[in-house]
Order: sequence, then C-alpha cells, then structure tokens
Amino acid sequence: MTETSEFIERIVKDGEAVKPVAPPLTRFLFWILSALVLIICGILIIGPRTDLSLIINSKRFILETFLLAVLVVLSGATALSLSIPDESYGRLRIVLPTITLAGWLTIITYHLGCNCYVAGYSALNPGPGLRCTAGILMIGIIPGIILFFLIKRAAPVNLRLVGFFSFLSLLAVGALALQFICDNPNPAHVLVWHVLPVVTIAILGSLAGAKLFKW
Amino acid sequence: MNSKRTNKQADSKRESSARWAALMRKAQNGDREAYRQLLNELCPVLRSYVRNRVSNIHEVEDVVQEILMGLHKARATYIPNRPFSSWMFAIAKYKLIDYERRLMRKRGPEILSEEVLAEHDISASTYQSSLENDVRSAIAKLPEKQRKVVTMLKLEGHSVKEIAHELNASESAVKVTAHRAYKALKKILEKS
Repeated sequence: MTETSEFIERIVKDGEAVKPVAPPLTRFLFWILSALVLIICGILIIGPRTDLSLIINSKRFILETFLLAVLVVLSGATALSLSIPDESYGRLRIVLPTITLAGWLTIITYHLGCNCYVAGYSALNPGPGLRCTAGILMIGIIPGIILFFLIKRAAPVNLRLVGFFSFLSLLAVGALALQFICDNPNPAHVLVWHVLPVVTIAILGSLAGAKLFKW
Repeated sequence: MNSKRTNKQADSKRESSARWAALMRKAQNGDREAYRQLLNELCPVLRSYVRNRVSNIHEVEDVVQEILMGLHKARATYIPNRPFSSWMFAIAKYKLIDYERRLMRKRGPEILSEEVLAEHDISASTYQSSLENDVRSAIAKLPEKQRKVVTMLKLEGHSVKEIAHELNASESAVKVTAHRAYKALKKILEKS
C-alpha cells in the first residue's frame, strides 16, 4: 500500500458525518439582519444627530446613505461568498463593492471641492473626529465578530480579499450608522474621520486576513 | 474531429464532477465507503494537477496529501448544487500556493507562484523548464564529486545514507560535499 493510500485510509477513518455550511444566501441574510439591528441599536444608544429632520431630504445625505447601504450589502455578500471555495465565481463580486467604495469617496471629494463648507481646524479637530472613528469601530465590532465566525466556519481560499471585504463590511456598517449620528456634514471631517479610517483599516484588514482566516 | 474530441472530454469531465458531487454528498452524511471511493478517484487527478505545477517531483505526493487533507477539513463547505470540480480545484490551488509560499520562505525565491508568474506574463512551464535548464547546466559545471552527490541527492532522490554507501564515504562527508556543492551552485547561478 503506498503512502498516499495509507493517508487516505487515515482520513476516511476520521470521516464522520458533517453538517454542510448553510447556503450563502441564508448566511448573508442572517448577517445583514444582525447588522441592521446593531445599526439601529447604535443610533438609539449614541443618539441621532440633531439636524436629522433637516438633512434627511438632502440629495447628498440620501446619496451617501444609499451608497453606504449598498456597500454594506455588497461587501458583506462578497466576504461571505469568498469564504466558500469555488473557482467558478466571477470577478463582479469584487468589482461591485470596490466601485461603490470609490463612489462614496468621489462624492465626499466632490463636495470638498465645491467650497460649500469651510475646511478649517474645526473640521479636522481630532476630539470629535476621533469620537466618530471610535463610533464606526464600536458599532461595526459585533457585526464584524459575527462575520468572522461565519467565515471561519467555512474555508476561505483568498485570505487577503476575504480580509479586505470583511473589514470593509463591518466598517461600512459603522459608517452607515454614523450617517444618522454625526452632525458634522463638513466633507473635510467626513473624509478624514469617516472615509479614511474605513479605507485604511480595510487595507490593514487585508493583511490581517492572511493570519485571521488561515486554515 | 477535434471538436468532437473536445466535446467528449467536456462530457466526461462533467460526468466525473457529477459523480464526485454525489459521492461527496454521501461522504458528508458519514458514508465512509463513498468517501474512500471519492478520495481514491481524486488522487490521480490531483497528482497530475500538482505534477504540472511543482518542480520537485519528490514533493508531489506531499502536496497531494496536503490537498487531500484540505478537502477533508473543508468538506462541510461543499454546497451540493455547485460544481464539484470548481470547489476541489479552488482548494487545490490554495494549498499549492500555500506550499509555494512556505517553500519560498525556506529556500528563497526558487519557485514563483502562479499569481506572480501571471503578473509577469510567463507561463509556469516555461519558467520551470528554463529554471531546470539553468540548474542542470550549473550542476554540470561542478567538480565531479560534488556533481555526483547533488545529482544523486536532488535529482535521483537517494538518501544521504545510500549515497554514503555508494561513494564509500561517511554520511557527514556526503553532507559537507553537498553543502559545498550548493554554495558553488549559488555562485554559478548568480553569475549566469
């Protein structure tokens, strides 16, 4: 008997019944619902922004919120679908959330260039700024932990991409909640304390993914 | 004629994939006989997949076993209505890249991963054959004793003990000769 045949026999001995992981859609729905509940809890606990009734009909607010909601959905779905080994999936699942992220960045940068707001020290003040970044992380942490366990239960084969999109989705959850919490609409503030932390931590997440999701 | 053959091959691949999917579903339910049959059927397929991508033929079986272990660990992630081959080759590729990374860390950039090769638009087989030619011509330049030790150890796969017996030398002498040969090879390859 060759070495590999003996190896197969050893594996077969260990081959008790396993419960297949739930279909991607079921896992995604479970995650997105828990993320939605946590967004609402986060807004209620920290308290909604004072100008919410004024801003809720503004084009910029609607567009940013829509893009962030799409980013949450797409990046979460991508992270979960990448956690199942399959060579037949297309690149669209990677391209779409990346385009949405770029769209969010573009809108903020566009408004920054509009000169509609005074970009000064107050916009970049680290006091409220850091509170926003901390808020994004605090609200995103539980959906992040849920996502982590859903991915660990599977077998991701592209660890960096899974790392990037899982971190991006949990941060997008936090950033979406912040839309209803932070009452500083200055694009400089949003760019420095909302967008940059999301992008930077998601990139760091791609590095961490290689360690976190290795199996 | 050619298109008929291609169609036949595609049909046969689809049939195999469907059969493996059925066996995997049974294996997920704890049917060990189906699991044994599945792994035994996958083994030659994986061996041929790995052989085309790993330069050191003595490590092919190790990599095949790593992939088999990967399939075993991840068997709960096979979703019955998805194509089995896509699932299997995704894991095989992951384990192969993992093996290459470990090898690169251990030995330096001797072997490049598929991703790196793709970036530089070089096919794996072209790279491997050119690397093999370089190494073989470098080995040919070594002094006779060193050449014999390296050939027996690395190309023919003999153990140090067997080489020591063959050359009528001690095992430590063989190791020292091999070490000197590697240094000399490095210099030759760097120059070329």
